[in-house]
Amino acid sequence: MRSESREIPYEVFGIGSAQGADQVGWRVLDRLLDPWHCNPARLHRLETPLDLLGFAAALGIDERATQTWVLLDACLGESVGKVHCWRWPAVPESALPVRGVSSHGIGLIDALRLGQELGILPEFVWIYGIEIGEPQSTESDRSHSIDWVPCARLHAAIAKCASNIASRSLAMQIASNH
Amino acid sequence: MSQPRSIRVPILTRVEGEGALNIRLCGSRIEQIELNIYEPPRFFEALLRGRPIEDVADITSRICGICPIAYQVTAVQALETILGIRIPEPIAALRRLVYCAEWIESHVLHIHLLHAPDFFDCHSGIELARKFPDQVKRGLKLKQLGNRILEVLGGRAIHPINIAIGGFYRLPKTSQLTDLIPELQKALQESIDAARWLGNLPFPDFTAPYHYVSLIDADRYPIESGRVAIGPDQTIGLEIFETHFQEFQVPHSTALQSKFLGTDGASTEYFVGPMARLYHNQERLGPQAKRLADELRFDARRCNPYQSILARAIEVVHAFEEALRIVQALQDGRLGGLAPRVSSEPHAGIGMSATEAPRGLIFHRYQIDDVGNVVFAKIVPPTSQNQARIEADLRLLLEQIHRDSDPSIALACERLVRCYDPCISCSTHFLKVNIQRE
Repeated sequence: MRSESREIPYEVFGIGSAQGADQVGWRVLDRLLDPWHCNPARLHRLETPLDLLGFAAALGIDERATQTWVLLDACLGESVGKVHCWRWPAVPESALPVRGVSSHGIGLIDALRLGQELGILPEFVWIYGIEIGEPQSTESDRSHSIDWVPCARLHAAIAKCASNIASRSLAMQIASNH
Repeated sequence: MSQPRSIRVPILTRVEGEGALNIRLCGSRIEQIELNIYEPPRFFEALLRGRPIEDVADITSRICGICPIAYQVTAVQALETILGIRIPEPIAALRRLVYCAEWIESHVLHIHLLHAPDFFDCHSGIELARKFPDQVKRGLKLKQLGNRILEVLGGRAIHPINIAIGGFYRLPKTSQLTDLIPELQKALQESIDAARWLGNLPFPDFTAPYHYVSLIDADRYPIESGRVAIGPDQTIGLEIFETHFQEFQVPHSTALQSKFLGTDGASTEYFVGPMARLYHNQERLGPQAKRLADELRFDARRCNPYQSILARAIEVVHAFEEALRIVQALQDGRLGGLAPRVSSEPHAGIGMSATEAPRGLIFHRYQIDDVGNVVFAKIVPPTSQNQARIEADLRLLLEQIHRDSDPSIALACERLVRCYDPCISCSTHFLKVNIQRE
């Protein structure tokens, strides 16, 4: 899924699925597709963090050097709807578990560490984490999906992320044109 | 008198899904080995009952994020036999192509991030990437191409949505396929290089008396069709699959296990997957994959499960070779003007199908009513078929290593389980290892 504009190398990746609260990353992409946002970024809908690395491994060195990535993912936390913005690698593992809520047991942090080890990440990787609640406390329950809570706070968070990302990508485009 | 030993290893890593392994040892006596799949049952078969047959492919694809195509293709083929649908050859070729993409994606992931670390003394794919960055990068690129083919044909890489009864909901443009040719050519060579990288691994000295089961397709390597090979020169049709392969419940697992029942009434564990496919079909590989298997001196008859990493690497080469052959054959525009699917009227009946999922043979049987609703569904995934075999392997391994330290035993058991690339999510999820010694 890509927007028409390819003028700036601003890549936005929504990571998740159509299931439960895991869909917040995709929901932000949906908002970014709204023409109202005048969003010039390229949008990518991913289902696993590993797909990010497939994308990265296929990039040429020049492309990688000029790109900025924005990753959108659900993160754990009690304040449903709270939005975090971290610049990789300064991400708390407690928010994005190393494994446990992703397929293959390879979570976003694992994938980014792998990408860093391989030298295939661009210099600027921003992660927007949207808190979706905490999973069940017992270990055996960790694989259960967290139910989608269509609460106002989550919708507001999705709108806030989309607006922020659109502004940033637009600002980058304007800066690159001058 | 032997001192009781109790060991608990909390998590077995680098497998798909979640489960546990419980081991109890008393001196040299192995009292218990249980592959404990405690994930709650997912009731997919019950979920399908009463649903229109058009829903089956989309629902069954949700069983697994790694091998949804296997579930979809097996399901629609079973339903097509009921409806008397024969799909045109180009559409059958596209089905095979999308299946190749799934093999590529699944095998490459398992080889590079889940299994290879075991052979290079690495604890994770990240550590392996530190030692072998170029090889891991190559693996990621190969996987990405598998994803791309899935997107072109399946609509998206995970849980594809384009497989339909009678064909596809939408056919790709010929140009979308021909665009893949240069990448496939390059990837074919890279997949050969990847297999060579693994060719001289130090495989542990372990063998077991395997009863290999896979499909055999007359003149080609089996993917989406064939008869079931139950012995070196013995095949059966699907109509008696359930006579010979019987599922049963064990108290320690929410997933069913399965055993082979011979004509003499004796039952045994059996082994499905790439090793079994190569055992029955090595001569049917594509020319380059076959040459590579010979070069690597791969021989499934050695019955060494650790060599399954080579089997997967060889199958990746075959899948790229086959994908390239199919795409080149479809360049002539024969998809143009072709209806994406064959239509049909529902009527009551029973149909079954078996295909080769990345992890091994998968069997589906459906009964539908005269308006096209599912009355009964049975799905036998590969991992549940391998469960009993995994436990038998662990028993053999423990006979060799029971004097080792607990961490060493746990590690060895994890490594052996990973050879099977178990998808516990399919059979239902996660693995912890508990060892008790008494």
